[in-house]
Amino acid sequence: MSTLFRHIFPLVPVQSVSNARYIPNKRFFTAGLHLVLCTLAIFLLGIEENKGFDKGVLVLLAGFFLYTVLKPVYRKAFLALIALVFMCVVTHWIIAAGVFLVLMVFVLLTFIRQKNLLYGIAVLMAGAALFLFKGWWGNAYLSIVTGYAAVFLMIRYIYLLYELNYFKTSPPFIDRFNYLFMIPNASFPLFPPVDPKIFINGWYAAPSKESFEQALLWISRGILHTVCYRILYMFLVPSPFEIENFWGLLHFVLASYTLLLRLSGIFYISLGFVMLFGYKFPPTFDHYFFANSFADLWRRVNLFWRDFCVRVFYFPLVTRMKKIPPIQAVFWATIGVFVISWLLHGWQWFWIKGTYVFAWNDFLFWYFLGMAIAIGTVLRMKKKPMREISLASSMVMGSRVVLTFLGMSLLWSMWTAESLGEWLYLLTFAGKATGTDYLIFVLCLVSCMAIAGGINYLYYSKHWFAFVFKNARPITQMVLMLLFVCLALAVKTGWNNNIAEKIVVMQFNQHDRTIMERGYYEQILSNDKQKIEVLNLVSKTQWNLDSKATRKTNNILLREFLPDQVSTFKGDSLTTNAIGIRDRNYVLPKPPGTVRIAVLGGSYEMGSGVADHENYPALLEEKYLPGHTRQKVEILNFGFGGYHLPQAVYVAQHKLEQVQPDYVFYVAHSSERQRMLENFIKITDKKVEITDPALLQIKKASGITPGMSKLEKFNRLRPFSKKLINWGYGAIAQWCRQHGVVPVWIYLPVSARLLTDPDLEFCLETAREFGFETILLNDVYHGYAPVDIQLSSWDAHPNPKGHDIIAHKLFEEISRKRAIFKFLK
Amino acid sequence: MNIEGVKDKIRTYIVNVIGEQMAKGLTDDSSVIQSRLLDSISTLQLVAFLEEEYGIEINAHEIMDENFDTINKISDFVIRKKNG
Repeated sequence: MSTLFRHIFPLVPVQSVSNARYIPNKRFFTAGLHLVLCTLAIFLLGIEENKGFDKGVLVLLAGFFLYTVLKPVYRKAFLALIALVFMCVVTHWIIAAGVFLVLMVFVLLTFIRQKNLLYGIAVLMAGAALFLFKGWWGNAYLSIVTGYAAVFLMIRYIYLLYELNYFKTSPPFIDRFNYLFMIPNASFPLFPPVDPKIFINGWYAAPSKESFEQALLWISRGILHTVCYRILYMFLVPSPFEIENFWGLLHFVLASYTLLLRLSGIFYISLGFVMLFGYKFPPTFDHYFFANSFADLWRRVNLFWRDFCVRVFYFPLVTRMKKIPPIQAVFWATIGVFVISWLLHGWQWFWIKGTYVFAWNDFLFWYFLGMAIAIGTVLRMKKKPMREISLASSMVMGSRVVLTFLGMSLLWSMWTAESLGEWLYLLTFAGKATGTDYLIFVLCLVSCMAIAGGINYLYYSKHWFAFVFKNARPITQMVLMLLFVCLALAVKTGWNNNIAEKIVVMQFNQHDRTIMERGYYEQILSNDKQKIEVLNLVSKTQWNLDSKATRKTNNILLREFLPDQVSTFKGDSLTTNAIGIRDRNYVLPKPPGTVRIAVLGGSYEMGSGVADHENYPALLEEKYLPGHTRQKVEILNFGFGGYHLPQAVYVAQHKLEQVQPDYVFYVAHSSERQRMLENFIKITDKKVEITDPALLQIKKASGITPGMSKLEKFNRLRPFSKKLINWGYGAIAQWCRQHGVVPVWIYLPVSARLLTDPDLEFCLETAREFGFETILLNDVYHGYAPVDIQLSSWDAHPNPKGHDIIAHKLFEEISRKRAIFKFLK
Repeated sequence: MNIEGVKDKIRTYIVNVIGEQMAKGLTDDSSVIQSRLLDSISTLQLVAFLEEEYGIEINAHEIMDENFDTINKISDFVIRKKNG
């Protein structure tokens, strides 16, 4: 019994007891204020809010202050409790309890001290977890728990099993448990593989104020990196679809690599919160944009991963190759490490995304990186270190930094491209550059090299310069955190500023938003599987469009609702009527004296993420129009997620006649032409029957073929975008004329704050040319923060309040056009 | 075996590897691994140097911060290994 007690409340070494004291002096209170500011910044900026961290961080803050007043002997057990509460808050207590039990079992297994048996168990458990996670047992709860448990176990369990063989004294149960159940891992599926020895032996190895202040430094740095990432992501990273020349390509390649800031941001924040509780870690990133070679980069990026690979794989590999020359041993061991890294990254992504697909760009990224680092390492073994820093050596160093950044950006753009084909297509823009372009590029490159060289020289030769870089004082960080908090508060209390809003409320940029909407019912699962699965479990509802409620079609609709279905979608009811639209039943044929409006649109009109009667067409019919009309007005909602102009034309031509509408509302959204092209590409990809001669002609004239990347198809179709819009608007207008229906073109922006839309003017003019009545709702969201009117930061579809705002605005606009809408009083 | 002599040899070796510029302010208690002054290759080269210089065999799991993070730790480790 006492042994069990000591495993949960282990004796604390005398030195750690003295280090564990938090003396309530001025310095502690200042640091405490800094921590509160950091927590507020995370909460208000919604950092990792889709993983529940914005709420979980409040648990960590409260937990930390309680932790500091506890006796050291109880703190490790209390930390496990904080981790459990944290997980309950960010997921659900049912999930947290399951994961807690799974980890307990895994920790108990580590007490079997037979090395081979342990590895055997690890492999066996991994196999079982795979089996469960893939849902082959069909149990959603087990599947989710296994998925979360894997987040804690997938890398760290391997590391722990390896290192347990080399601890001087066997670590108690609670240390092993806290190592695996590391806060705040539940909110950060990508978590650095912390060294078990550093974690377990490092607990209060240094005075508490050191780890506390180091933690605050890292958390602040993480927040800063995250904010920088948001700025880059929202304002500087172009969509690949916008690339039209060499400079666009260069912009895309360089900007994509800078998004690595997100990884360093979440690593600093997550590790910073672990350090709050008395742990101390070495740096996990080291000025990675300043690497002067690929081998140097390997020593600066994700250092915990590098250390894990070096400890568990690299050193054992090299020491086993003592019979071959050291250079060869190092080369082959480095290659081996990169093969393992590639496999383990795939292993991680499998757990996080739920699927593993071999991708050539992923394989080639690790291949080229591994080869570059192996060759660089071997060359370095032969080279003498630099003795003194001179201006000339600094210039060489600066050139290397710039070339490494460029090379890594290129590799990174390949890695993150949708496919290798797309990336290779992008590179063709380099061939389209003129001689002047190349000359300017070389001049820019040389200038950057000179600047980098100058900075390097100043850094190593001028103490004042290095001081500025090295000494980020806590007060500077506190001011920065205060600034972020004020910015977030200003936006959340109604400050309308586009830039500030995009920093404060994390959203998808235009490109990713389009991806989300394009095939959202498929894509959404891969974007946030964990959250969605938890939601599915907790609310017992479906987050993807239930296959029972929809069916595939063999025409350009691609998919449609089945009639008379009762289902759920994103946690809300989804009911279809007898004619297969998300609406109530209407009498057919139309009763005399009734006015009917048919709405053609996509997910916004369908009401993605809101209940059946909460979408704006339903609200207009049921809430705003009653009492203001001379006749009964019915609004039939033909919206469906993923539909665009081609589907609207199809619906008009094949489904509207039966409902006898008096008005057809076609709802256009932001970036209409780009959406149109993407939709057309989707239609051609699915190989469904295209019967319309105009569409067939455009397909033929563009020269798109099935083997082309999506990007190439897009660029080939780009010259036809106006033609496609003309075709679509013309077809709807023609159908309306033939049936005596009034066509109405409505513009509804997809984002709560899109200041400009390059397609609006053209589409508006085209609609007018074809005889549409037009209604512009471009200021519909004015005065509302996006967070208040959209489903979440990661789903820009309007929430019930958003739909109500749209319905009200639409009602106001309709009321202004009584000459057209004669049914109004 | 004189511990000061071991320390001197290790110090000289490390300064040669990292360069005089980086070695400014290096003491016997300065971290060389956790502070990233020595990377994995340099550590392996140091291991090879120690094995050759002192006729000892170092296993992969022994290459860790506890034994290699400072000049003092490295020299203690070498003495321990040498004494068996």
